[in-house]
Amino acid sequence: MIIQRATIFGFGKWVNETFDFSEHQVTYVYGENESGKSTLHAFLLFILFGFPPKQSEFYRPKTTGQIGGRLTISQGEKTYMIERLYKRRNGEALIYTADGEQKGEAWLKEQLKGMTLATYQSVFSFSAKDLLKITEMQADDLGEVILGVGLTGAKNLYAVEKQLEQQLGALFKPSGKKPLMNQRLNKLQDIQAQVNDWKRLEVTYQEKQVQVKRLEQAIEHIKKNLQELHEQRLYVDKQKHVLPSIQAYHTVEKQLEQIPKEINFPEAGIERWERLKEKLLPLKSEIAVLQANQTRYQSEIQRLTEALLPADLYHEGKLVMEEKPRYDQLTEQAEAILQSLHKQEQQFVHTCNELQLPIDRSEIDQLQLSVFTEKNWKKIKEDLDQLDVKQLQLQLDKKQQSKQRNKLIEEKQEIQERITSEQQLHVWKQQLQQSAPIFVPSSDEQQSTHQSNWKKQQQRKRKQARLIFSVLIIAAMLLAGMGIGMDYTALLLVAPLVAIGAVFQWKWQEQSIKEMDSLFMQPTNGSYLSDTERERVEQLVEQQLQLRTRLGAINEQLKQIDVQALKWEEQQLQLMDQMRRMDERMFAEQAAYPFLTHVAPTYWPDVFHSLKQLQYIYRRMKEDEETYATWMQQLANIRSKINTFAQHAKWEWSEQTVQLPFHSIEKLLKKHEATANQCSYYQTQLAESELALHQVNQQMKPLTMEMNQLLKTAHVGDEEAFYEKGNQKQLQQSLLEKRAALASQLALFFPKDMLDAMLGKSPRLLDLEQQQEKLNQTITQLEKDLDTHQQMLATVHAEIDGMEKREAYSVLVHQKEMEQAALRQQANQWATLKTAKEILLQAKRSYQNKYLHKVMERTTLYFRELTDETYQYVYPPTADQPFTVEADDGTRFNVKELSKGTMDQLYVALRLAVSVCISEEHALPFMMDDAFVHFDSIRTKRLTSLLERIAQRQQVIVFTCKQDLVTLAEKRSFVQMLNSIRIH
Amino acid sequence: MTKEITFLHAADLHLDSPFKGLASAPEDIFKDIRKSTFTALDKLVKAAIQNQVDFVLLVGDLFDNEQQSLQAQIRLKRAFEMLQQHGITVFLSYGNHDHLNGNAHSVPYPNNVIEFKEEAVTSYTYIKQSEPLAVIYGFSYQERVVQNNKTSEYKIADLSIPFHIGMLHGSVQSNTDHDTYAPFKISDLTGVDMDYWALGHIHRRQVLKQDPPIIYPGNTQGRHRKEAGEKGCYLVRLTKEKVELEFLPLQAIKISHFSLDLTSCPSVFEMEREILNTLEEHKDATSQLAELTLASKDDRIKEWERSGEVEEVITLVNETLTQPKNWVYIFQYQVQTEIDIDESLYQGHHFIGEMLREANKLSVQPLLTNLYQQRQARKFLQPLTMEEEREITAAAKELLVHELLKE
Repeated sequence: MIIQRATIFGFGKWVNETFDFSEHQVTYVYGENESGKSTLHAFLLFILFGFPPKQSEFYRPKTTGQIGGRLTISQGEKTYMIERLYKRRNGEALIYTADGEQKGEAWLKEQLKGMTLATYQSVFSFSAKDLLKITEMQADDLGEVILGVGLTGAKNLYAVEKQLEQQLGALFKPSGKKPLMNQRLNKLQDIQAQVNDWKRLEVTYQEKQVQVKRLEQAIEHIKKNLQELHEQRLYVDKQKHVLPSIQAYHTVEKQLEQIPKEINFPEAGIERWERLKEKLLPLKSEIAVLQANQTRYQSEIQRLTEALLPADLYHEGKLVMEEKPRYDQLTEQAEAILQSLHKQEQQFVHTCNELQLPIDRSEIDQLQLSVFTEKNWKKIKEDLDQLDVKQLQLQLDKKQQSKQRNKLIEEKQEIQERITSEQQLHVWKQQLQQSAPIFVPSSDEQQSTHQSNWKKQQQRKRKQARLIFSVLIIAAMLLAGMGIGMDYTALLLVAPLVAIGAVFQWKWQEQSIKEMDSLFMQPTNGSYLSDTERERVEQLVEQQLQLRTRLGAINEQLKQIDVQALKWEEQQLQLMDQMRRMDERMFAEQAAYPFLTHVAPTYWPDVFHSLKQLQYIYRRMKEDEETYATWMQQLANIRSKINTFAQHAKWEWSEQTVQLPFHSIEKLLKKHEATANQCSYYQTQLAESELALHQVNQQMKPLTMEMNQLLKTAHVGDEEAFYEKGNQKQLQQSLLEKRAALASQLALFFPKDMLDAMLGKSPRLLDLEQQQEKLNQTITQLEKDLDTHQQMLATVHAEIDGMEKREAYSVLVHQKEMEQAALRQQANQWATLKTAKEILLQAKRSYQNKYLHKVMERTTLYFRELTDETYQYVYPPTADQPFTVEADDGTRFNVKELSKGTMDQLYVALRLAVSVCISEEHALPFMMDDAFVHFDSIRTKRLTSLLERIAQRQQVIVFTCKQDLVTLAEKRSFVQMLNSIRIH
Repeated sequence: MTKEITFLHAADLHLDSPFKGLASAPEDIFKDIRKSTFTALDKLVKAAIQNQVDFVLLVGDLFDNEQQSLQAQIRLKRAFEMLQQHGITVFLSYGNHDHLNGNAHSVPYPNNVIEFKEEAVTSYTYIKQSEPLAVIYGFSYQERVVQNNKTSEYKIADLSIPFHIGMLHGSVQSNTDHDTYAPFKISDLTGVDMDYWALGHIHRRQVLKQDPPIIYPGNTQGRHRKEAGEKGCYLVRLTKEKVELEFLPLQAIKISHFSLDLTSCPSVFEMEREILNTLEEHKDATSQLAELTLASKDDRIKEWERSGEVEEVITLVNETLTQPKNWVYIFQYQVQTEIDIDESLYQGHHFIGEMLREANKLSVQPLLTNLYQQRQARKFLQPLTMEEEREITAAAKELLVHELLKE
């Protein structure tokens, strides 16, 4: 197919233009940029393949509305013309053949042998841009791209393949996780798992329903049981409650059995009887009272009669009682006398005791106590007193004398002691005269002092001895006196002994004084005197002189005293005599009244008076005793009277006092009188009650008759029986009523059959309680069970409810369906891609098989020419070897190792080879659009010559803006200058 | 007074069965779709109550044993309970999808529901105001398949009862679109003196015969792109003299097809507007799942499809039309161009020609084992049908030609 001419009606900037194309030479269409060469190129394609409307519209000229034109084509011998106008014939082509026939689009397509605009472009469109792209490609991809292009001419085969791969990978990988479908599958798996879980769960729904049914049945059963049990319990409770009633019923029943069924008893018998009795009772009690009174009266009368004294005794008693006042008087008087006697006696005894005399009562009475006696005794007493005074005076004088004497003796002794010997005194006087008046007595003086001391002592001792001697003598005298006066011989014996003792003592004392004198009476030696001594001696001498004077005085006085003592002794003798006569008088009196011996004469007058009084008392006592005895006799008479009465009255009493019998008798008499009174009273009463009794008996009669009638009706003999029967009747009545009441009460609680059963056999409280306990336990257990079951049921219900409400499963199923639908869509997509990829690979393989050899052969040829024989061969890739080229020296280069220039050349060689191969099949013109813009002149030259050679076999049209190319090709090629400049 | 009965005849409720071929949907719409079968059931109940029918006939396939959900039966139970409150009896038989032995959950139904539990045909008498008014005949599938013709088992029991109604879940013998279960000929049915033949199993509504009425009510809710249009049940009033039939649409979501010629659209924007206009025009009282066929003579639409622009437009349109009620959602679309692969290419000696020729020789199935035999995938992908294979090959060729010849 050769394009000879293109007639453009209107296409882009071209309107009504015609271009011619060479047949056997390369046609170069030259034009500057924007000169319209690309539009021309498009026009050629438009006519051959037609454009889609949008693209067509693009080429609408500004001046004319027509888009389209004609191409004059020669094919072998045939020539035809293709006309295509946009918007006419639906954009389809119209072919005018040389023989005037018109053909349609289909015919044209047949001529094109399956070549479409796209396929044409993919194979033949070959522009500078492709080369640019090649240089930008990755080294790794380069081989593949070149192979793709080289094999198929489709420059984006590799890209498509890669894209498919990528898309497939993004969608799904058999063991991937990230690709979309894998993700979705995982999601689906998840959902499925959940669905399964839910399904399993929902399956339990059925089980739960069964469970519910079972539980409901169980609950129903339990409830029924419970109800029954409750009823039973209620029954038991009721039974328990009415148990007393039941038992009462039974008791009543039993009681009724014991009572005869028929009882004859007058109507209201008891009441009637009671009424009669009521009337009768006061009467009867009246009778009883009357009778009791009568009995009492009679017994009283009898008793009283018995208690009465016999009449003579009563009379005697009366007489006795008349004596009572006299008796009382006598008793009183006797008592008085007795008391006076007692007093006198006491007085008498008292006086006697006072006197303390050995004299009794009779002696006193017989004593002759005259007035003379009294005077005599008085005289004795007075004389005796005078004597005593005298004696006392004497004794006092005696004492005075002895005392004075002793004093003088002592003084005398003392002076004697102090008086030195005459020698001494003489010495001293000498000394005084000789020397100075000095004189020292010294030890002599001491000696004399000793001696004087002793002298004093001696005197004292002597005095002492004298005193003791005199005392003892006096004592002996007294003893002797007393012994004589009292006739006490022992004292007479003791007196001489005392006197002897006194003498002896005197003698012994005298002896001891003499011994002492001998001891002290030793002379003292004189000595020499000093001045002072002399003075002292002077004093001493003086003193001695004074002492000697005094001593003389004393001796004088002693002599006087001795004279006095002699006088006193005379008086003493006189007194002694008087006393002796006195004693004689006294002895005479004592002989007459011996008791006087016991009394000192001083008291004799007093004794006289006392004795006189005693005599008087004695005489009065005697008188009283006589009176008393008389009265006692009278009293004894009266007592004897009483005793006689007692004997008559048969009393027995010991004769103690008289007052009591009197009293008793009086009481006895009084009692007798009272009894007699009472007796007559009772007799009167008795008569009255007799009368009353009779009246009452009359009243009772009709009543008794009526009562008898009642007894007869009741078939009984007496009241007891009547009452018994009456009570029986009453009991029966009340029992029947009670039974009826109980029955009706029980009937309220129980139905009849139950009641009958219960009444037939009375339940026991213990049984009932046991039963109740058992029932309660069972009920509690069942209630617990019920509770448990209900809880379980509630749980299951809640679970079922929950399951029924849950839509999760439903949601999941729907989700799953949706995900599956999405998955299916993705699967379709994936399948499409996968299929596409497989188709592509398959096509690639088969295409390689068909064309690889041919294309390689031609590529080698072109490459050799383009490289000016530098490279000799081009080898297609094998399994482990990419594209390789062989240099003229036999070295092989990997396609990646080639320089950019060489690579460009190889690419062009491949494209040309493929294009030429395809073009040969389809015999289509080979069009190139400025493919070699960047080639240098040498390469351009080599290319043009190559194109020229190709042009010998098929039409080659090159659109270019390169001036040098046009210049270079001018000689051997047809050059179409645009801008209406025809180069040819 | 003439004797009369009124009832609803429905079948193939397929409660809670998922919608087939919906690849994605927004949450709300998904929820509506998921609940659509229940909504249809609710409508059925409402219709029954409103029309004060005597009973409701449900002729099989109330739910699916495969992927059986408890929800389905619970809802069914509730529906029945509702009907019970209004004194409406339900006669139901089980079909191939809810056959008795495959039912995992037997939810107890209220006692206004009469189930035909035997595989043999049995009958129940419907008594109204203590007067036997109708005899209903039916049987249930014990297993997934009932292959024998059951029509001979239908025998009129008591002629004194005015009406006789046969329930039959199965298909006409000649029908090849569906699995033929309990096959029958129309003449078999007319041979029995029924006043009404209530059929089930075929999802497309069909009146096989007017007198006596032999009717497929179809399913109540479309669950597949092919189950387009109104779906529902028949309200039937029978008297001795005449039959009144009224179709009551129950579907919650209507499945609609729209074909658009987009040749004149120069850009995707025009295409979008065009689609929107079309859908707005066809808005309906119910929500719709739309399937679009986008046709164009212009090749560019393919370009848009490949570049994902068409999908974007669909997404946009879907977003625009989203609303709480009576929404329209495009769940599927096909792009159709009249321009196919140039036949002449096959003859070319160039690579494309070679490739196309090779493609025609190629068997697709073995190429795809990577996916279809993969452990996980094979659980969720059904094997390709011949049709699908062809489609895939064609798509692959188109793809290749397009890609290889791209500038």
